[in-house]
Amino acid sequence: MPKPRPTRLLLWRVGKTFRQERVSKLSASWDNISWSPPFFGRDASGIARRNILNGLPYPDASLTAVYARRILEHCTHREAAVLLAEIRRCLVPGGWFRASVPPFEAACRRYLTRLDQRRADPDNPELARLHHISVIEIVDQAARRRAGGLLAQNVRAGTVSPAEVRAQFGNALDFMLGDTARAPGGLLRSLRNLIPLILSAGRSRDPRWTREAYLSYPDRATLETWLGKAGFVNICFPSHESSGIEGETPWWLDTGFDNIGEFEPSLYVEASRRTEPVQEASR
Amino acid sequence: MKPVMSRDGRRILHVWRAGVSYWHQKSPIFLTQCTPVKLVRLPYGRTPPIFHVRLGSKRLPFPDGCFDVTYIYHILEHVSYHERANVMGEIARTLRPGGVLRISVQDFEGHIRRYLDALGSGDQPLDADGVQYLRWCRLRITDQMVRTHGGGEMLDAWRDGEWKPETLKELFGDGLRQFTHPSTFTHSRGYRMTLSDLPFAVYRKLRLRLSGGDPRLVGEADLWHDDELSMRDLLLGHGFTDIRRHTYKTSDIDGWENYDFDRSNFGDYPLEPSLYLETRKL
Repeated sequence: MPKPRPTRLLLWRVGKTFRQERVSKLSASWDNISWSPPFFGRDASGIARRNILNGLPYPDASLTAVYARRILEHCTHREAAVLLAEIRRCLVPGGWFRASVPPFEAACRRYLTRLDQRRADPDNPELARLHHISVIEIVDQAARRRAGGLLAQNVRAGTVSPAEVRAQFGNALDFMLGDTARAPGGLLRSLRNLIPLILSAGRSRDPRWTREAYLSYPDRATLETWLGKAGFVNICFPSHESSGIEGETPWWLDTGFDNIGEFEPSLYVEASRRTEPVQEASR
Repeated sequence: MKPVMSRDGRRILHVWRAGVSYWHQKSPIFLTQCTPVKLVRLPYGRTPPIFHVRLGSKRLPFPDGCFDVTYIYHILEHVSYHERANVMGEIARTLRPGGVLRISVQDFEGHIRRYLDALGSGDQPLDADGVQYLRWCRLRITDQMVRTHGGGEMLDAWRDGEWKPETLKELFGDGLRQFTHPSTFTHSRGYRMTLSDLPFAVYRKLRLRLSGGDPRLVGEADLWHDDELSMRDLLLGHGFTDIRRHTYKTSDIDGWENYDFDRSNFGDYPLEPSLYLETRKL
């Protein structure tokens, strides 16, 4: 007898720490897809890598819950509409959708606070550094042209302390803080890195191609608009510790470890698929 | 190359990138009274009277200290954090000691304050107009950084009719006038094509077509944002002093009213609301 297919789906992108600490501990009732390049095959832990913009491999109304963790900001607004429609198709009526996106509003407020602090004392190097970092937080992941961007540069250079990285990004960037010395077998690793470089026609270092770059900044109002248009109702914004998804709650996915409350500070949104059949657009 | 002498006997360097409205309103002045340098990402041939300078090039084609005044119009936000040192270095090199540099860039701080104001206190849900206004405030900050096709989400919102003329005027001045008042615009390339530019023009067309109109290839994409204090850091680092903030109609430059690059030709409002700074070279 074939194993019953999981009815919950986690969509996530990349993140070594997240995979080690969270994805690998998902129970069998969760399926998961990693939206990371190259968009085929499986990664080292056997997780399917797939370009979710080309559709989800599930029949209609087959999933009870979908969690798109830090996915939507890496889609343009057009792609987000396509993806949300696809998720709605796979969800059973009344099924729950949860998403997390970067907290744009909080980043804006933090920026203004630090700017005002600095204005009182413009020549203070510490305040100047904090001001610069808060601009990086908003601008860098959209504007970067190399993987990692200015943020990774600053972390490696030690301009940003590990404590600050954790305060701002939770556990998500722990892999940057660890021992970054290359593992032995450098030649094999470089050869392995060559394969995606060739397959992507040289674009595998382009943050837009690898979907590392932000391609939209959805805030609450944007999420409400997107979800409303895609046919979701009961839109709410829970915290990282709460969820309307019944049964085994996925909230522990968003809790951090090592005395960090939240795995990656985010804005969370939940919504359910309308129970009444949605009128399909006539061809 | 020789700088152009203005009517009042000064040499003024005018650096810009694009802007249909700006071109329509101000090119009669800056093409005749200034040395017009257009910073571009794709290559151009000889296109008098405009000097097309590629962003990647290391030098501006002018000798040291040959300009009395330099105006850079909305350049620095399209230059990545790593490229800006070179651009500012060249601006500083070609300006004479004591010369005035006027800069207009996107007002990051102002945009963020406006966005947070539009969000409201959060006690009451926004009505449809409030949501639309908030969307435009968000797009003003982020869209030019994230767009993957020319015009981005702004163009999509405009095509969907999700805009109000007063919002666009408040956020962009005349910057989107070609969309709000299309009949007043005639399409012009902005320069007379010479035979030497023909192969470059073909190359540009092909590259653009192949990339699907990538905004980063054209230079339309924003690659960094500045506020008053980060500009101050940049300017102090390149040998400038006496940094002052101005409005669209004020300036320390003598006879600025003859140029008036930042005021709309259609009324007393900014052509493109920006952060305006002036500074002197040491």
